[in-house]
Amino acid sequence: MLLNYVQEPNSNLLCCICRTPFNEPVTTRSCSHTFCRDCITQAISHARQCPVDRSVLTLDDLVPANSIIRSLVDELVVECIHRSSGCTFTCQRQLLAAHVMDTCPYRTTAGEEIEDVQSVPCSLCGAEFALEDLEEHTPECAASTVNCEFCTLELARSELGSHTGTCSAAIIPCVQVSNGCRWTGPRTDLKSQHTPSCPYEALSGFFELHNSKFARVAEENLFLRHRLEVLESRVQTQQRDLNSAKTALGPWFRSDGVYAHSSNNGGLASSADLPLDLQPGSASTSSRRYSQADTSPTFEQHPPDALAAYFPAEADSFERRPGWDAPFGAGSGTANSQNTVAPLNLSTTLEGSLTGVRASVVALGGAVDSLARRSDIALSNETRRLNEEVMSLRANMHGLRMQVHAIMMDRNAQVTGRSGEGGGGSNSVMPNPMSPLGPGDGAWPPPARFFYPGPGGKL
Amino acid sequence: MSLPKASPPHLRRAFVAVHRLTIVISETERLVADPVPGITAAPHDDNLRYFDVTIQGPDGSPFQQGVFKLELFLPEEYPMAPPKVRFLTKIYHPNIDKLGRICLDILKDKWSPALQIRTVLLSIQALLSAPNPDDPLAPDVAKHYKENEADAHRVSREWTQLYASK
Ligand SMILES: [Zn+2]
Ligand SMILES: [Zn+2]
Ligand SMILES: [Zn+2]
Ligand SMILES: [Zn+2]
Ligand SMILES: [Zn+2]
Ligand SMILES: [Zn+2]
Repeated sequence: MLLNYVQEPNSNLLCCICRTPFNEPVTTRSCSHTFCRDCITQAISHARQCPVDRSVLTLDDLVPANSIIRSLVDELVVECIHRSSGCTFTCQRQLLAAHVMDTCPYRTTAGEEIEDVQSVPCSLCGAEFALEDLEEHTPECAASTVNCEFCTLELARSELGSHTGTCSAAIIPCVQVSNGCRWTGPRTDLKSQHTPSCPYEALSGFFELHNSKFARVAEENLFLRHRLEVLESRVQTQQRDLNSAKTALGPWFRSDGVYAHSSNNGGLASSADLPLDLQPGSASTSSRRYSQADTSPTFEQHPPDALAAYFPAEADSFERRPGWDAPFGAGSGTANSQNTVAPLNLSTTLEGSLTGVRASVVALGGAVDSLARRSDIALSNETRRLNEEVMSLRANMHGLRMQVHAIMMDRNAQVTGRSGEGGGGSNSVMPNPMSPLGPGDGAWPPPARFFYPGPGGKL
Repeated sequence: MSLPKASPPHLRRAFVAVHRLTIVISETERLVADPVPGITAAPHDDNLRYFDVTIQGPDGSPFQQGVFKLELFLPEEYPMAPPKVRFLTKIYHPNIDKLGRICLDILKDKWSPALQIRTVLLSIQALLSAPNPDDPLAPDVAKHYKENEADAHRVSREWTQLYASK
């Protein structure tokens, strides 16, 4: 838009505001200074005074300039405004408009002209904008002026940031604000007035130490939290594994970690029919069976571990019971050799196993019952036998006493008869039964008269 | 080139904005082509209205040998409104406060659209040569200048040495 004059214009033809030859020159009535119409109109809208001599001026004081001045500026030779595009046309300024509009080979159509006008530079920063964008750009243009809110200095918006950081009037908080100092004031006062009296500044060493410690603890806390998260996730994984293991184990899962090992003989199933000989019917054997040491114990004929292994404490109590050592000795010895309990059949469900165990417990109860009954019978048999023996002993004793009595009677009769025949002394001397007898009469008569019914004879 | 009178308002606004930007650009071109002795002014690449400025301390002043950095910003209304200028280098001067703000009438109510960046910077350079303690912006410094000018000059020289040496 700036016209290029072929010759340097006379300085008397230059507007003192825009420093270019007058455009639509107007002259002030009061002081006879000449300006472009646009220039002086804008100047008056800012300050109602003449820009040259500062005398009071209004729009009414402006009159068109002398025609000589007008023709002088109109006849100045200018270059075509499309010179940069290549037009070398020059003409008087007053003719340029016609050239640009009608004959310039670089002229634009009317529509393009408007478009050309619509793309205008920002008057502040010079960047090109479409006219409608410029309206938005202007208030946020980095080159527009703003006042520093502290020192009221007017400066470019782009400079405000760096200025506020150093503005000595800016209200800033104390450097110890993070530690609790509530002081705020102009930057100049901070170092000179507040800092020497700031109670927090005196403790700054402590704060530094404390803050570094705190930072360390916070860091450690972060690290620990991270580790905790890792561990938690690991625990969750293991929980999941455990659950799946539980599901896989099904009814055979034991929380104490003791897992039954698969038994090769399916012990429970056979244990159900194990105590067959313990049925009451089988206890009809005579008492002699238990009184004989060589009688085969019941448990020795069957695998005793099937039950004993499940009830080791009871097996022990059997063992300790006096009088039962012989029959159970061999059996319990076998049971002790198998301390681990593993005869359960893992191929069945726990419910089935429990049913089996219950059945075997019932069977065991029956066996214990029959055992008790048998021991009762055995006891009463034994008692009866002992009674018989006592009776026979008593009878023998009686027989012996009778024999002794008979012997004594015989002896008495002999002694009395001999003294009667011999007529010996009148003193009756009772013979000492222990005294040795003479060879002739020392022989005892055979116990023919008193027969002892010995046990052997009885049978 | 002028816009037809009957243009819609948004086109008119755009035209005014472009016109003002051309003023800035032409003035910058002249500033670069014909620099003022002892003064440099370079626009930012990303902001044509923002200038990095240096002013050499005038000979014979306490600021001699010093090179002072300033920032200059041309508001959108420029040249109708004055540029904003501020010292970035610390300076012990009765008309310049600790924030670098300058007490200079042409930067305020005495601004005229006929003034230019060049004239503004020359005025500031002149202010360094001739401090005006009667219109102070830094009261302590002004008081110092009024009561003991020699000692005040000594401090100004010290600050120049301290903050504005090349
Ligand atoms: Zn005037
Ligand atoms: Zn003008
Ligand atoms: Zn052309
Ligand atoms: Zn912009
Ligand atoms: Zn500020
Ligand atoms: Zn504090």
